[in-house]
Amino acid sequence: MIDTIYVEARVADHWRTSEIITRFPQARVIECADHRAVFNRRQQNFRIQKTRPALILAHKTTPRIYPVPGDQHLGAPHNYYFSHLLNCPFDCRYCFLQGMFSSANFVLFVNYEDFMDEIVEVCAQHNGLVHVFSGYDCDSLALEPLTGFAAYFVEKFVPIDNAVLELRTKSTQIRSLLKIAAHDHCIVAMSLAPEVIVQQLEHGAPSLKDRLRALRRIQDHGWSIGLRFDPLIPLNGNAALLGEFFSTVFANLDPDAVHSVTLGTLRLPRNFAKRMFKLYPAEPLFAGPLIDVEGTVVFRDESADNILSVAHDALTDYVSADRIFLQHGAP
Amino acid sequence: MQILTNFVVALASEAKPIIKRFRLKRCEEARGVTLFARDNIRLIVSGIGKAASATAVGYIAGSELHDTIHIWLNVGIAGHQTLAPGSVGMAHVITDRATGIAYYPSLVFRTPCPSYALECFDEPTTTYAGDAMCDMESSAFFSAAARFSSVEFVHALKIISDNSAADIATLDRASISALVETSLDNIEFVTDTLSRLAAEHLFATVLPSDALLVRWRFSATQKHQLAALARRWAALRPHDEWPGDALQSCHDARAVLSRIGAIVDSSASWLEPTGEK
Repeated sequence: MIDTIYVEARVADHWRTSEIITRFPQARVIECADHRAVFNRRQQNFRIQKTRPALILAHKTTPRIYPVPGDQHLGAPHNYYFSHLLNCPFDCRYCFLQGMFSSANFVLFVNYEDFMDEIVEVCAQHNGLVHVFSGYDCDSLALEPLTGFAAYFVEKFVPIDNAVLELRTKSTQIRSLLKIAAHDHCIVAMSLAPEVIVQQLEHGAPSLKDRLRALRRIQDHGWSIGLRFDPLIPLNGNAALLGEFFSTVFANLDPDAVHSVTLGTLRLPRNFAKRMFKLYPAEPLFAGPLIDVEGTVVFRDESADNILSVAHDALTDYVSADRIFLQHGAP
Repeated sequence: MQILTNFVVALASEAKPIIKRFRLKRCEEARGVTLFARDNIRLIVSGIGKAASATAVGYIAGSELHDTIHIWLNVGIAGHQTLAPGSVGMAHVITDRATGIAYYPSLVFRTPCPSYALECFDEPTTTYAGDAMCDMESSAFFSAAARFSSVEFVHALKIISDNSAADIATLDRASISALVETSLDNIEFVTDTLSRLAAEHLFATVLPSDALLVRWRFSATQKHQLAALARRWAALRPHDEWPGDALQSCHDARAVLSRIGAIVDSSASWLEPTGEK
C-alpha cells in the first residue's frame, strides 16, 4: 500500500504519472524538484522505510542503459542493463540493494520511451546478440500492475533483431505476459531458492511453489524461461537439500525448454555489507561464515565452493552444462 | 543504548500542556536553556526562530550518551491561509523560505492527522504560502535534528493558530496553550509510534565487553574485532552465556579474540531447515 507519492517536477504532467497517482486516491502527493532530494540522501534508514515505502515518480536522465559488470551474463557477446525502477517490494535479507541505497522508497522512472530509444540505439551499435537485463536494481515484474513495465517493454523488443530482454523476478505477476504472444526476444528469469531460504530470508516473496506454478504457466504460454539460483546460500546437508530442491524445480518444468541457468553465491561489496550488517545486527545470515576477500564479502571458501560444485553437478542431471552460467562478480 | 523522545517547542505557552501531559520536571541544572525531562522524554523551550531551534536540538543531542537513539518532534503553532484554527497538521515537506532548501521528513507511519507542506519564514508573516503551513523554526530544527537521527525520526507537528480570517495578533498565552492542548492525543500517538518503530528496528542487543576490556589490553582494531564478534555471538548464540570462563587461560587480547572467534565459528548451523510452507 502506497500512501506517499513524491513527484519530480519534470514528470508532474507526464501521462504515466497521472495514471499512477489516480490509482492511489488516498495517497499524499508531494512535489519535489529532483528525486535525489528525497531518495538516497544521507540520514535515512532503509530498514525503517522498508516497513512503509513511498513511491517516487521521476525522470531518468542519460545514461539510461549501462554495460553489465563482470561476468554476470549468459554468454552473449554484448550485455547491458537498465533500471526503470529502483528497489523492490520484497525484503530479501541478502539483497545488495539494502547496502547500495540508503532509502527503501521505490523510484519509478516514468519516461519508458526514452529508455527504449537508448536501447534501440545501443543495439544498433552491435552486430552480434545483445542481452539487455532489466532486474538488477529491482524486481522486473513485482510491481507490474502499477508500472505496466513488461506490458510496455516486452513487445518493443520484437523489432530489434539482435536483442533479447531478460525480465528477472521472484514475482507471480505474470498476467501481462500471458496476454501477449510469446516471442524469442524475451526471457523470463525466475530467482528460486529452497523453501527454507524463502521462509527465512526472502520476506514477502512468493513461496517456491507459487513461483514454480507461475513459471510453468509462462513456459506453457511459450516464453523462454531462465532459472536463477543466485545467491545459493549454504545449508547443512547441502547435497541432499539441493538435490531435493532441484528435483522439485524440474518436476514442475520442462528442462529442455529452459533457456539458461545461473549459479552464484552471496557476494557483497564491503561497503554494502557493512551497511547491511549495521541495519540488521541480529540477522544470523550476517553472523555466518563470511569473509572479506579483496573488498568483497563472501562465504568462506569451503562453504561457497562446496555449494557451487554440488549445485552444478546436480543441475547437469537436468540441463546441459552449456546452459549453466556461473556468476562471480560482485554487483 | 536508550531511546529518547525530544520535544522542541518555541514558546513556554506551547510547552505547558505537553509538560503536564507527560509529567515532565524542570531540569534545574540545565544552563542557558529551559529544559524539562522525565525518564526518556526531554522537552526544550527553544525560543522563537531558526537559530534558537537549531541550538536547542544541539543542546539535547550534546547532553546525551553517544549511543542514544533520538526521536525529535517540533511542536508549535503555525499559520495557514485557509485551515481553521485548531486544525492539526504534520509536515511532509519543510521549505526554508530564505534559502529555498526543501527537507523531506519520512512519514513511515499512518499519521493521526493530515499532512501539509510547511514553510519556514525568518519573520512573522500573514502572507500565507498557498496550501502550506507557516512557522519560524522548522527548517533549522529539521536540518539540525537530522544530524543526529535518520529522517524517519524527525517530525514537525503544527497546530493552526491563524489564517487569513483569524488574526495572529489576537493570540495570547492562554489561547496558544489551549490550541496545543487539543492536539495532545495526536502528539502522543506520533511519539508512541516512533518509539515503537525505534525499539523494533533500531534497538540492538549489545553484549557487555567492559570486563574484557578491563582485564586485557585491546588495541583500537581489536576493540572493533571484539564488537564484531559480540554481534555475531548475540545473533548465533542468543541463549548462550557470553564467554567468561572460556577465556580464563587467555594471556592477551589476541588470544581472547581467537578463542571467542573459534566458539562463534563452531556455532550450530545459522540457518536450520524448518520444513515446507
